[in-house]
Amino acid sequence: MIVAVTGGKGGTGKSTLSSNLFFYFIENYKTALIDCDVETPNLPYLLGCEDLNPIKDIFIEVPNIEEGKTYNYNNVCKEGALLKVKNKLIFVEELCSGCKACGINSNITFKKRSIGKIYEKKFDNGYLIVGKSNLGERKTAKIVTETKKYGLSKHCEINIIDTAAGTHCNVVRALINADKVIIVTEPTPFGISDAKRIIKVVEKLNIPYKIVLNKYGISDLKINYDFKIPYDKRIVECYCKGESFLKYDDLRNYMEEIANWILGIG
Amino acid sequence: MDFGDRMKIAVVSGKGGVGKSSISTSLAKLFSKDFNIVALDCDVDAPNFNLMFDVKDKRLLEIIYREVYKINNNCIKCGKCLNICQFDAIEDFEINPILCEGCGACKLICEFNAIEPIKRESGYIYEGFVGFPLIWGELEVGESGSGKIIEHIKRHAKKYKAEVELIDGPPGVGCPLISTVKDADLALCIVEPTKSSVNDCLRLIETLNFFNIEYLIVENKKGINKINYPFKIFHSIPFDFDVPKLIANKILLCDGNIKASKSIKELYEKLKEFI
Repeated sequence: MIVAVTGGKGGTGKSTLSSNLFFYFIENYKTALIDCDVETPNLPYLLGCEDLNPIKDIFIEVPNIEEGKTYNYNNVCKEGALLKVKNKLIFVEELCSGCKACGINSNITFKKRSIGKIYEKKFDNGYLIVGKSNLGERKTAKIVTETKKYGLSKHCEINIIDTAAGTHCNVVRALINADKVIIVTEPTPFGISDAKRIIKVVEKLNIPYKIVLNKYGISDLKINYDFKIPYDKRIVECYCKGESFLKYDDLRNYMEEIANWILGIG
Repeated sequence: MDFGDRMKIAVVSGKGGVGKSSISTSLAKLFSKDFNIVALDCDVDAPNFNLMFDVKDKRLLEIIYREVYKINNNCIKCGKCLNICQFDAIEDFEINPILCEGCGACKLICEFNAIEPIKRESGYIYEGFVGFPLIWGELEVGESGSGKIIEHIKRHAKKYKAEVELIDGPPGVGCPLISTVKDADLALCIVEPTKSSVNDCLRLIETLNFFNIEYLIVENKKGINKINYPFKIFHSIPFDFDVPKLIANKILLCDGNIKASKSIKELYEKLKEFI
């Protein structure tokens, strides 16, 4: 079972929900929690563990341009990273997406460049897997794909994928192939507008989803939802301490309802 | 006409949901009382700035297209395109347009003329008047290419004669953030007292340093948690449970009558002095 947690807007409670679902599921199932918010991964803080093991670098292949060497190249780069000006090649490495188009029908060779890293923390009954981009990196999509692949290779019964905010391709890459999606929103005009956008994405991908209205009670705005989680100071406290809120029975019940939908029971 | 010369201030945060839009909408209104301003919403994934205003004369300025590729009937399934695609966009000899980055490697490597470019709408740029001109972009859901949309928003903004350009930025530290801040005169980084937000802010600061952009850090929701910041705080806005209620009623923070309202006005005065 792969369940992705997303939200459109940032700060609605995606990571809070996915980390508490993780704590809930590892009680009975082998579970992987996969942080695909690779530009700003925060799950280690929410799980109160900052001592993650680096597993591997994620590489793209970029052209290896040597001074003084002659290359046959026809300005095929769509990113403007490799330009031929008066028989001289100018390579702006920061703009290179690693598509390798420049090497086709050409004598250009490639070298590896790291764009990010995968980290891991092992729990008794599961794993936290985190993808993290190197700073200044523009194209981070491959880190999402590779982090997810690595997480799923652990063959856990339940895989929770935490996505970035937004509706862009990194979010789509995190959502693709999920069996179910949870959309976390909040009762503000921003939350509602952004939830509508992410619902469109999930419907395009044809994945069953449910809406969790988090911070219920902070306003009277009307919004359709399937599950709710009230605004509660204890949740904020647990978030700040990096602890689960399952020790509070009333809060645990909210999590149980959502978990049952994921498991397809109740 | 190109009025390029102005003070560009980008409101950014790394982490989402810390109050960028709540703060930037108020700052824009406060700035507009003393300066000629134009506001830009570069959070094209979640364009929220306009939601706080009654937008007058809303119009579509431009549709942004991006090129992706599709496989046609000439395909003999040799598999070369599958091997070259670095973005996992080709499966069973079909190109998933959502995953296609439009690099064209598959077309270049194909010897059978079986791959052709197609155009997709990837975003829209709008303009409206909210007491000052506002230009915002909207990424077509699931599309990529927010950087390009942001470039176009900025290009449109140049037609206004403005002393201040106030930009609501996207979360993250990747392509959209870099496109937003790379020519900014000042980045206003919003942080809340949580480890996640501080960590994201540190990543943001490193990115800003990388591009040599000046920044100031504003703490929002002060008081929800105790934390020692590893950077200097320029101004703090207290946590106020009434903020979401204001926002829900489309009342700008600066127009409310709560603790946070007073604080944002103080922030504006300090900023005015700073610039």
